[in-house]
This record gives sequence, C-alpha cells and structure tokens, in this order.
Amino acid sequence: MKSTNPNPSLEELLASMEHAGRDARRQQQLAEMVEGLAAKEEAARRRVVRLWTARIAAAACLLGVIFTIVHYLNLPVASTVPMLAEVRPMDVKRPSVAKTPEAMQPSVPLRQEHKVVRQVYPTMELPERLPDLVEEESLIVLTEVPELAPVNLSDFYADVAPEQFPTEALAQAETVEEPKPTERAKRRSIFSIGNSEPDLMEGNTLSIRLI
Amino acid sequence: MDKETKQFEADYLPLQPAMQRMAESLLGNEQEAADVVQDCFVTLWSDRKKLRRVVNREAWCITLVKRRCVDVLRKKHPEVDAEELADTAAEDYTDHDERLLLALRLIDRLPERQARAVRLRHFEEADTQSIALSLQTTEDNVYVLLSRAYKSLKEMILGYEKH
Repeated sequence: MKSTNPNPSLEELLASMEHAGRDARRQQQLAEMVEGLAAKEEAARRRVVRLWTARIAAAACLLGVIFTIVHYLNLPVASTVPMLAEVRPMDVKRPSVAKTPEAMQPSVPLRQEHKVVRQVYPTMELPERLPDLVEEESLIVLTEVPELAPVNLSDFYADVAPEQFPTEALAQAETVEEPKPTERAKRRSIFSIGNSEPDLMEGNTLSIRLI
Repeated sequence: MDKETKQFEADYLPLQPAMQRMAESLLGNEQEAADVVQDCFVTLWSDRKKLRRVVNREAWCITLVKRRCVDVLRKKHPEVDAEELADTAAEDYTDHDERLLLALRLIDRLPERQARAVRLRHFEEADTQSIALSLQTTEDNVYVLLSRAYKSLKEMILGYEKH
C-alpha cells in the first residue's frame, strides 16, 4: 500500500482542487442523468398502464357489442337461458292404491285447477302451487309418462272399509263442475297432451301445457 | 423528483469522486474514467432494487468500477494482465482525498478575496474574466490576488512540512 505523500507541492494541491471541482460538476451531470433515467422509467410505466387500460376498455366494448348483438338477434345463447330456468322437472309416481282416505286428502286446499287434475290423475302428486293460469304460460315437463288407463274411482276404494269410505269427499270430487270455456280457452285447449305440438314430445316425456 | 431518486442520489453520488479516482488510476485517462463511472451509475440505477441489501456501498461501487476498467483495459491492451493492474491501483484515490482536504484547509486560512479567487480559478475552473466579474474587480487585480495567494500557500506548505 502506498503511503500518502507527506510533502505535497502547491501544484498537487491545486490539481486536487481542480479534480474536486470537476467531480462536483460530474456529480451534477450524473444527478441529471439519474433524474432523466427516472423520468424515462416513469414514462414507460405510464405508457404500459395506458396501453393496458386501452386494451381492457376495448375488450369491454367488444363484449358489450357481442352481448348487444346476441340480445337483439335473440340468439340461442342468450334466449334459452331464462326459458331453461323456468322448466322444472316434476317427478310423477305411478298411481298406487290409496290405503286410507287421509292419503287421498291433499295437504293444502285444492284450487279449481288442482281438482280438475285430481279427477284425471287421482293419486298424482301435484305441486303446491300451479302457475297462474291468467298471467303466465308455463311448461311443465314430466320425466315419466304414467300409464293413462281409464280410471274408475270406485275401484280405488274396493278394499276400504265402509266406515272409512270418503263418501262426501268422493261425492264432492265427482260433482265438481268444469269451468265453462272462455273465448281464449275455446281457441286453445286446457290440456294438450302431446298431440298438438309434436316438438314438445321428446322420447318418453309427456308435455302438459297450462294456459 | 420522487423519493426513490432522491434516496439513490443521496446514497451513490457522494461515491462518485472515489469511483472517478479509481477509474483514472486504472485507465490513466480522465475522460475515459468519467465514461466508465457514468456507465457504472447507469448499472447502479438499473440494479438499485437489488442493491438495497448491499451493506458496504462504497466497496461495491469500487469493485464495479474496477471490473469495468479491467474490461476496458482488456479491450485496449489484451497482452497486459489487467486484473493485476487493478489490484495495485487501489490506493491512488485516497491520496487525492487527503490532498484535497489539506488544500481546502490551507485555502481557508487565506484572506477572503484571495481564497475566493483561488477557489474560482481551481475549483470552478473559471477564466480570469469571470473571476474579475465575480469579484467585481479588474483582470489585473485578479492576477495580483492569485499570485499573492500562491505565495501564501507555498509558505503554509513549507510550514506544514516543518510540523
């Protein structure tokens, strides 16, 4: 290791001062250079942010245009989704012989349309609420087709004891008057069981259209 | 200027003289040394996030300058063992620092106008006209001020040697 010169000349001292002065100016230049680099980095970062913002905005606009086109053209992608949501499969059990009169009684009061259905399918489980016949038109798809044999109500009560025989309920059920067909009902039947719209019949399914 | 830039300047700009002296002692050319130091500062700026873990920044910067200088020397003189040269040139810049401290100490003892004239001449590297403008005097008077200052400094250096 070299030792420091103990006897520096005046020229050496002045030269070191000149060096120091140049160093100070170079430091100033380096500071400006660093600030320039920082500004350049910041500009590049902002450019990237702007670019991605524009890309995201363009993608959002494109999606909006696509959805608008799909909506107005009523393409299947958009139009079938709400319809599918309305279709509810309904399990239908095969008719079985009622053991007791209580089993014949519904858990909720029957509406008029329930009673009509009950007449045709005495043991079929009905939904608690049928769709409003006036306001909306619903489609109920039955997954199984019950065997639609002619039903004689007296046969169902053959093995019921006489004191348990629901005479009043049966009489009431048999005396239900069917509603008179309205103008609209004349045009369209209340129940169309797969005979008028073949497109609703698929395989082994039964379509009941309620109006 | 953001906080990061300020922090970088506060951390690394004070190391510039040492880096410059080291590069000058290795390359023997002030301008080339300045270019190498500037190149090193670009590297320091781009690696500033990694350098937060560095404890001894000065040693790290000096090593960086040495390696850059060795690269330059290898390109210029492939036959010279540049790394050995780099090992021997490590202390030169410390001489500069001590001389500068001594010079500043001695100049502080000069009369006010003589000291200002010497600083403007040798630190700012100003010409005689600028010094005269700054001191609000004539150029002839600047020459007189400078010659008296040099004479006083020589006497002080002689006295420093005797001590």
